[in-house]
Amino acid sequence: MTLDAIVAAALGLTEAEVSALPDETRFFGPPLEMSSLAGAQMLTAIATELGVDVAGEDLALDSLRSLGHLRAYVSSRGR
Amino acid sequence: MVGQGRVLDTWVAGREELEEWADRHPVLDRTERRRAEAGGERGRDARAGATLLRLAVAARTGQSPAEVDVRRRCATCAHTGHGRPRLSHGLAASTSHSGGLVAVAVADSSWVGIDIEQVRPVPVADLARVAFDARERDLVGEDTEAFLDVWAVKEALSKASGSGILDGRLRQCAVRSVRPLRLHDLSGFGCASGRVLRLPLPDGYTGFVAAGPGVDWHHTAGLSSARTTRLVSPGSR
Repeated sequence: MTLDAIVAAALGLTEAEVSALPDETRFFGPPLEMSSLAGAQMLTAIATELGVDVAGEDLALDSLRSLGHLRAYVSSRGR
Repeated sequence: MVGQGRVLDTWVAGREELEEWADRHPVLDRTERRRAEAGGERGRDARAGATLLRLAVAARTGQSPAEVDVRRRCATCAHTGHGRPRLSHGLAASTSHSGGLVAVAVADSSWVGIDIEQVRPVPVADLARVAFDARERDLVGEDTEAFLDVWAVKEALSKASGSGILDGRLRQCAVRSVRPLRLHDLSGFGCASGRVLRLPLPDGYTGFVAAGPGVDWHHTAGLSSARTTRLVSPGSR
């Protein structure tokens, strides 16, 4: 499962729709309007599917500032 | 009335009821309409939330809903198209939505936050690990309703303090016991004397509002048959 697919599942979008979003897209405002609970569910899916424990390693959760931040964080963990 | 003491107004209404009202009364401004145009569940929630916010503030100030001046500024990115609503008349507000239900809190203190959650299956242990302190994880165990109670309390506190999951404050320990609700020191959330009050909600939902101490609390349920109840603000620390 790809990161974009996980994000898409959390948001009720398709993977293609998420892949088309620019890096600066924010999770917690328009247009995504992600809830905190959906964000937490997304982090658990990233840990399960990709083996990257964002919540455990990035304690300030800076990686959730934008889609690009999250993509870079997961990519930097080599997966 | 504004300026007659510390008053907390909470409003809860169904999304469909709000959509029907909004179809007949185009009161949203350009920014709100743009958020509503996102479509899908997100757009519907944004439209319903903005509508209920205007209704709640209008009832408080005596303005018409269209006259209510709602400005937003995100505490994280400083964007003015979203974030915590800022109001005139010295009022502050917070909104929440879940499972087709919408809630708004309006107060004359900036320290106010509201969160509602539809009770539904969630991966309790996984989510608690992301957001809860170890003591809170022990509190909720595998109990979905207890988890959603603690989550809603911490979301309400987080909104009141102007933060969010982004700065990891949700992991700060806040809840000492769930039933009855007892909290730890809230100074880390910006208001040591703050209170968290359980909202009267339909079956299948849980929710809380965080507000300063000593508020005169009025709760309104529904629109077409709106029923306002004056509730006691207990010392639920």
